[in-house]
Parts: sequence; structure tokens; C-alpha cells
Amino acid sequence: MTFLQVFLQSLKKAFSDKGVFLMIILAPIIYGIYYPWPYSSEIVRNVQIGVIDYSNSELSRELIRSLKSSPTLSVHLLSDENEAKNKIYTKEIIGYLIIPDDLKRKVLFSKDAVIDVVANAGFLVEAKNALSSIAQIVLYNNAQVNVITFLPKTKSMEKAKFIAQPLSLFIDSYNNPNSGYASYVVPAVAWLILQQTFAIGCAMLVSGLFEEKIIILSASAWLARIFALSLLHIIISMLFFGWIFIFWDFGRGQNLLGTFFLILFFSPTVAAIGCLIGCWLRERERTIQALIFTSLPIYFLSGFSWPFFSMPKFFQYLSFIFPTSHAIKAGIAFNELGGTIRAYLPSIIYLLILALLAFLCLLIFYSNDKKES
Amino acid sequence: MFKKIKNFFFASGKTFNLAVYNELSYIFQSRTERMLFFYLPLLSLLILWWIFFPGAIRKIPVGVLDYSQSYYSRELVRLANASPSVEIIKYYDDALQAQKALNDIEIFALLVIPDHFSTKIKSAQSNSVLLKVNGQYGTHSEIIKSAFSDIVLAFSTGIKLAVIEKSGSGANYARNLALPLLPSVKMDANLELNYQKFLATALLPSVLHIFAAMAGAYAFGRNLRDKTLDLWYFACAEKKSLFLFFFALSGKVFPALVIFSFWGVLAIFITSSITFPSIGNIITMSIAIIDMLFLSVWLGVFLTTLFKSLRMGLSLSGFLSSPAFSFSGASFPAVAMPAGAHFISSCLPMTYFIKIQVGQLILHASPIYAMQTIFYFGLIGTILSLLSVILAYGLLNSPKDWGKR
Repeated sequence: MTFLQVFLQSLKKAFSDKGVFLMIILAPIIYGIYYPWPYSSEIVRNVQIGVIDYSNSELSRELIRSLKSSPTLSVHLLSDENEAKNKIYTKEIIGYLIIPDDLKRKVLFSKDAVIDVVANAGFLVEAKNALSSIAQIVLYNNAQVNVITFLPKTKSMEKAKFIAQPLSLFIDSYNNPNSGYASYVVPAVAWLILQQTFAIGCAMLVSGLFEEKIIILSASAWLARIFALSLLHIIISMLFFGWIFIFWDFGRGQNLLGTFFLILFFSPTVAAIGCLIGCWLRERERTIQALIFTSLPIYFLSGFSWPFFSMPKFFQYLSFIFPTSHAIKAGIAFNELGGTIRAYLPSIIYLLILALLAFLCLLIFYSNDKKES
Repeated sequence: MFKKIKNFFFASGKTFNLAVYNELSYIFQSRTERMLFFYLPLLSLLILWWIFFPGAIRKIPVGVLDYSQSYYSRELVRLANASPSVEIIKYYDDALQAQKALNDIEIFALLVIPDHFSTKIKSAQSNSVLLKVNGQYGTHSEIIKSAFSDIVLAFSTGIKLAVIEKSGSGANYARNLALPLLPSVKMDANLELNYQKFLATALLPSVLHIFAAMAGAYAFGRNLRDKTLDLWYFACAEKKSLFLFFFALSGKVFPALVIFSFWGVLAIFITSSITFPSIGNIITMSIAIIDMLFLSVWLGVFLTTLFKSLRMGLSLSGFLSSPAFSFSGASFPAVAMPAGAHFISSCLPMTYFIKIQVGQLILHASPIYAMQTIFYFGLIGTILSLLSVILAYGLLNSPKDWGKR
């Protein structure tokens, strides 16, 4: 079979084999819609917290009013700590505040008025959101008390405000102004989805050819197969970073050329690795079983959610063998931040090295220019 | 009558044992099965556990653009450098250069100190600094924001104290005046906000859930695909009977359940090594994880028998189990999800498992809080197993449905 014949055979297989079609064409689109769904509200709202108000004073009621006005929090008034603990164990609330009975007296006499805040850090993201909102509200209340205290002394509102809050911090969370969870996590996971579904599809196609005993094992045949499958994947990837990102309104297109350039290297790398796995497994359905569970470890090894510099050294090296480790870093820089190709050339070179290594393995172990019997 | 019952028990026991023996032989003879049952689960548990070994993220690289170049700005930078979470790695002279460093992710945030910074403090005017943070890296940016909020608060409090003390108040009185309400944060366990306790402990059962569902789908599905359902069944049972088929199929998935239960209990012990729960909590969670894996294995079998195809069984098991972690509420709170996603979250076993795991292993709650979930896992697992047996028995009698790819 010539290069063109294998190229066309691979394209035909990708559309005629239901399993391969599902994995290469449909699965990225389905996951592109399904995966971001739980995070689509972006911002954490309605975190359930409890308040035990032993003070029942004007000041404590003001504090509770401020807590209730926060969109992040949903406040439940509780009678005592036992009730609060029970609600934490059943996860009805993530944390609670205890306002002491002598709050007002202590504030009036400028003594330590300590408000205990208890949170369930087993759910760290939720607990952090609750704590950060509570801290902001308490600081706001502090500033108000400060202004009331210092106004008579300074006789100037500006000076009283200065003492209440000499320095404030403005945060510009650029490219993700609302610190949206989906806007943060999906642009990275997109590369993982594209890698895993495509690798399974390629492995399934190659395993199928082995099972049907029609596989051609020559250098040009492998090249034709990789080119054909990559062509489909490049189109799907562009669709993913285009229409699916438009659908969810994620940041995109900051360096279109860079993103396209990266996909041009990413797709053949994953195709070559997928073909290699297919040769090794030689059983279509096994490829799903063997590759799906790897998604979680590969994602966390990519250095996105958990930085490289905080990983043990061995894992930093291990992460280099996965295309996503390079693609996520460069892809986010190109598509979301407008990073330059020059700055991310090393990531692209790593992808090229991985592609060449996988191709070399195919040539060494699975190439004999003969039809396998 | 007694003899009949005795014979029935003998036949069902023999069927179960033979099914277990045949399945174990297959697992130990197949290179891929050994990999999927032993090497890869072990490797996954090790990777997911040790990635987060340092527990906290420290020294995230940050840059400074200091237009003020004053004593106060240097004091603020000094405070930032003292924070364990961030590290000032570079000082920039112009905004373009700093923005390029942000875009190329050399730094994750930039602290911009305005030129009138010192003058405003000296003349008692309210002041501000700007923190440009790369919101695309959510974990990093949240840590940076929290660190800088603390740094600015410490800086502000220092200035407040100085001003109040200058007015003649004592140091202690001045502190109370500066911060009239003092929030005292007490974490109910995981005091140090350790990511290993929060993330790795949730990831270990999630990955085992995927493995177990896939193993269940493959155990039955491969005979369906290879058109060997009859060969498999008659290798362990003498005659066609729904009751014997129940024991044959249970025996077929039993090795997967035992092997993954071993990994599950190991995961509970690994987690317990840093959360120090009581023996009661450990036993409760060991039962819970076995129960959850029982449900997972039968979920895989059920999907395969329902769609009469190994490929569909594996694909759907993967589709349901692999995003289960994302829907569980461990990474993004379930209460903040859209109604539809929240409903899906409430249908997935991992959501409930993580809830009781946090309660038992991290908060050290009484085992009573986990009983309801354990009961429902067992009940749903049993229902799935019974439905699977009925559907699979139907497939045994319908050879035209065998061999679908």
C-alpha cells in the first residue's frame, strides 16, 4: 500500500469504525460541553455557614447583616456549638462563627473582642472562600468601628479613614477578572481531554487493524497513519479552542498563531504515542480501560494545579513524558495570556522530541514492511 | 427436601468457586490484566499521594514594579519577602517588561507600588497598591492573593499602631483600638491547610472508582465480545439456571472486588497516616470503600449488560466515573454548581463517599454519620448486581447479541 492509500484508509477507518469515531470526533465535543458544566457558574456562591450569636447586641446584628449581604455566603443562625458541629459533620454548613456574649462591652472598652471562626478545611476551596469572605467582612466592620472611634480625636474624616485603613490592596486578576473556576481550570483540562480521547482513538484504530490483520507495518505507513489522524485532530482541536471556548465564553485567541503552531506539534505527538499504545495492547477495548484512569494522574503531573516547583524531583522528570505537561503550559500562555512563541519554544521542542521518540519506537518495534500474519 | 437444599448449596458453591478460580487464572496469566489490577493501581496511588507530599505551595515567583523607591515601599517588599507563600524574584523598571514576564509566566503576579506611596502615608492620606495576578493559574493566584492580603493588613496595622501610639496611647491599648474585632480562625482539622489532606485523599478513591468500574465492565464484557459466554458459563456450572448464573457472575467479579478492595483499604490507611483518625473511623471507612468499590464493579457490569457491548460498557463506565471527582464537590463546591450539574453530582457515588471520608478521616466524626451512606452504597450495589444478573442471563440465552464491537 502506498502512503496515500494508508492515509485514506486511516481517514476512512476513523469515520467508519464507531468506536474510533466516538473517541476522536465526538468525545472531545461531548466532554467539552459536559466537563465545564459543574464549574459554569464560575464563582463560588451560597457557601453555607452558621452563626452562633451569644451577644445579641446591635454590633453582632450588624455583623450578621454584613455576612448575609455577601453573595458568597448563605448564613444560618444556630443555637449552640453542638448544633454547628452536627451540621459540619453532615456537611450542611462548611463553617461557623461564634460571637461572644461580651462583644459590645469589649469593643466599647477597647479590649480584645475575639470572634471564633471554625471551618471544615477537608473541603479546602469551599472553606477558603468562606474564610476569605468572613475576613473581608470583619475587616470592613473593623474599619467602620475605627472611623467612629477616631473621628472625634482627629476631627477629620479623611484622617479617621486613613487610620482605619492606611493601605488597601487592589487586585487585578487579569484574563480572569472574576477569578472564575471554570475559566481557570477548563483551558488546561481542554488539552488533557484532547490528548486522552485522541490517544484512545488512535490506539483503538491501530488495535483494530491488528485484530483484522490488515495492518501495514512500514515507516511510510506509520507516517501516513499519523498524518491522517493528526489532520482530524487538528481540526477538532481548532473547533475546541474556537467554538467550545466561545460557547462557554472562556478567554481565547490572544496568540492565535501560537495556539495553531502548538496544535501542529501536539496532535502528531499524541497520534504517535496512541499508535504505540495500540501496538502494545492490540485489543481495541483495552485501550479505553488502560487510558481513561490515567487522566487524573497526568493532569496533576502537568504542573498546572500543583506547581512543578512544589513536586518531588522524580515527578518533575516523570511529567516530561506526557505531551500535556508541555501543551498545557504553552497553550495557556498562547491562547489565554498572549505569550510569545519564542518564550515557549522549549515546550514545542519537547513535544517534537516526544513525537520523534514515539515514531522511532514504532519503527524499531513495529515496522517490518510486511503484512502481519 | 433437605438433600435438595444441600445439593443446591453445593452446586452454587461449586459454581462460585470455579468462576473465581477461572477468573483469577485469567488475571494472573494476562500481562495486561496484571498491569491493570496490580501495577497501575499501585503506581497511581503512589503518584497521587507523593505529588502533594510537600503539603503546601511555597515561594510562588512574584515581581515588583516599585515607582516609589522609598523607605515605606521597601518595607512593604520586605514584608512580602518574609511570607512563606511568595518570593520576590525580580524587580522591574518598566511596565511593558513586567507585563511580558507575566504573559510568559516567568512570574505569577506583579506588585505595583505607585510613586506617591510614601508621600501619601506621611501626609496621612489613604493609599493603595496594585497586585496584578495571573488569574489563569487559579491555585497560584488564590495563594498569592491571600498572602498579599495578609501582607497589606500587617503593613496597615503597623502604620495604624504607630499613629495611635503617637497620639499617646499605650501599645496594648493601641492594638485593641487598631483591630477592635479579632477573627480567630480555627480549622476543624487540616489546620495547616494541607493540600495532601484535602486533594490527595479525595483523588485516591476517585481513581480506584474508575479502575473498579472498568474492571467490572471488562470482566463480563470480554466474554460477550469474544462470543464465549456459553464456554465461560459451562466451565463453572453444569446446567442453565438463573440461580447458578447469579453465583457464576458473582464469582467472575469477585476477584476484581477483592483486589480493588485491597487497594481501597490501603488508600484509607495511607490517608490515615497523616490525618490520625480513630480505629473506629478507619474501620468505618474501610467498610465504606469496599462498599463503594462493590457498587463500582457492578456498575461496570450493569452498563455492559444493558448496552450489550464491551466497548459501550467501558466507554460509559469511563464517562460516569472519570469526571466523578469534578462533580463531587471536592474541587468546586456542589452548592455553587448549576441545578443540572448539582443533580448529576447528587447521583454520583463519589460525592457521598468524599463527604463521609472528610467526616471520618479528617474531622474524626462519629461513625454513625457514615452509616446511611454505607447502607445506600450496599443497597444500590445489590440492586445493580441483581439487574446485571438478569440482563446477563438474558444475554446468555441470546447468542445473536454476542460479539458486538
